[in-house]
Amino acid sequence: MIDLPARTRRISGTRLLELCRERGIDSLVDPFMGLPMHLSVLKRHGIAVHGGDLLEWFVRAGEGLVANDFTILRESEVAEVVEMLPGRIYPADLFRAWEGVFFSEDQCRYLGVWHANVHALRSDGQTGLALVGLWHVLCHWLLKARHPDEMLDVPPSELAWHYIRETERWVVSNGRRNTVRRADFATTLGAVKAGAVYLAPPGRSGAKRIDARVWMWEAWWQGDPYLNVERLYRDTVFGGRINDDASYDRAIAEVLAASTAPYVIVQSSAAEAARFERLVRTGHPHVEVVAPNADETYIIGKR
Amino acid sequence: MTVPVGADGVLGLYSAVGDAFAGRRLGFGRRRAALAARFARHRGSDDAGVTASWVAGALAEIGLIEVVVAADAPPPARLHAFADAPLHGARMIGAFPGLSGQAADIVRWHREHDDGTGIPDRLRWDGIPADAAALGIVHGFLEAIEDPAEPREPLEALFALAAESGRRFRVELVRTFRLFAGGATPDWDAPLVPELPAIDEDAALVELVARLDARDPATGGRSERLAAIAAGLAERLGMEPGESARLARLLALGGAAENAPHDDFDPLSRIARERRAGVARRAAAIAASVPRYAPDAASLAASAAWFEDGAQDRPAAVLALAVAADALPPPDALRRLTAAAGTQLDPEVTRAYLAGLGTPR
Repeated sequence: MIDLPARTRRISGTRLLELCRERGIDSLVDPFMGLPMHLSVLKRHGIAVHGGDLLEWFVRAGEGLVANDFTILRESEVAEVVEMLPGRIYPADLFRAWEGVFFSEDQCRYLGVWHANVHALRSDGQTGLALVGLWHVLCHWLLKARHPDEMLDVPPSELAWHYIRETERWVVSNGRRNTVRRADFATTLGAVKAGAVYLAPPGRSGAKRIDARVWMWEAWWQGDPYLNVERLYRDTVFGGRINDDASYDRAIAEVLAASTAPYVIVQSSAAEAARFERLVRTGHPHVEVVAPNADETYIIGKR
Repeated sequence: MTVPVGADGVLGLYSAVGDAFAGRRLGFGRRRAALAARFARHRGSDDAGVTASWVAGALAEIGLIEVVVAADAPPPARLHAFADAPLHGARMIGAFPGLSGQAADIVRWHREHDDGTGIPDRLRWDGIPADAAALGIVHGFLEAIEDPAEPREPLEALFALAAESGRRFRVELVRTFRLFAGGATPDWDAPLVPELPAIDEDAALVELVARLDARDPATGGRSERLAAIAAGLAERLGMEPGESARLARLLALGGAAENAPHDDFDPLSRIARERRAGVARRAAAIAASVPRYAPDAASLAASAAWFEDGAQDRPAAVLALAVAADALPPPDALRRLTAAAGTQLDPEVTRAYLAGLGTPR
């Protein structure tokens, strides 16, 4: 059974919204956005948001929830995603490698069908929405494998339908241009001008300890159950050699130096706040530390 | 099954207003508060954590007061407006002197779902603070018990929770709650009010009614105007000005409903009488549900009555006149109040008011 680690970082869009509003920030860029729910929340409240990441499925999710202002899926289109379509030839064995290890035979078959159906969708917005909705299904299945007697059995297509519909409810326009890109931090920060850069720095071994629910979905999107996402990070600033403090500090400093925004907001913990405060202070003479609770500390630097 | 009503004051009033906006039984919020606090203690929270859970349980839905959305608004607009209700609630609690930031955070995230589909942030898994996730479970449990369409016994309600295990609710917390409410804690539903910080009740009431008034552009700032009129009048009549001012503010509770009708009608018009009585009755019902304000309920309800209907208590008569004086356009006020004395308004109270204006009678 796969390990589902209990250390999810709390990235709160509403908290960021308050930090932005208190400082008159009306646009924000996150070069390590991950699943961009926080950007979606900020967008809904009128902030122009831009994000970047190296994992393609995060970017696709952003195309559905961040860049997309209007597109949703009609009933018939959801049906075309969640069910096997007559006349279409599906790669039945695409995710056979996961069968019996993580998922049942039936679930693996659905993963293959959904992979083909989502790749056949017509727009980036629809693809992103379907992809996020189906990701919830994957998470549900993995959790159910751990707690088989404590969670309801829900037919795969019903679950998929529910989560796709749930996801597309959050499509909204804020009258601004919002973007996402698959790129490293330097490209993302160089491509857009924003009032603030937000960073939730990855941990020292972030690439090695990536949550199964994240790497599996990239593997699903790429259609390669053996995909190793570590390689995506290997040559980046947070790649191989950041296990010692000095290297990690250098990596963070490199990201901060690439930012030209008036504000930088670094989310950290109480234990690491002093380290990040020192790093932020290098390029930002005015530094403020906001700690609403023990789990969230924000180091806010202003040029 | 007991229905606890704690001996609380203005926090109870905030809680009842949250209940009213959510369309729940008045007192639901305080029951949720007691259960959330007991569950927090069961999970090993310290005293501060238990108090924060109580406060958050009581005020979980107060953020609805800030959600103003037209009844015919399209579903996405309604969804997005209501998604911010926990955030509004958290801000209100955060601005309350004496209440902890922990309580505000519990309210902010108590509607998050374990699978990442909740509001307002769509946090997921253990990114949701355990206290907030626990309050979400308590809320879901009581909602199932008090479901007006299909009320359930506690055991059945536990099954309703189990159906959402791993989706709305964290599996481990549902398991703990089933042990807690399923027999391990016999007094799980007994009333409980923890040690609360001292709160300036008058200031909190002013803040609450100002928010209620602000929901409708036609009533913005009205309660303070009414309070000033009522206090001045009470003083001239030898009554306690503070009590009259409080009563005038409590009348704003009549607007505590999602689609409360406008009440910017002519207060002396017979056509609008029923609407005015409805507002007064709703205010009285909310006040009656909170022990500290229950004695005010009768005067609030009576404030919509007319003098010709029979004897009216003096505080109600003062309130009725304050409402009329505030609503009438100044050029008409003198003439119409004079005409209404003895029929719609108490003549003695009217005389005192007009005398205060420097008008000989």
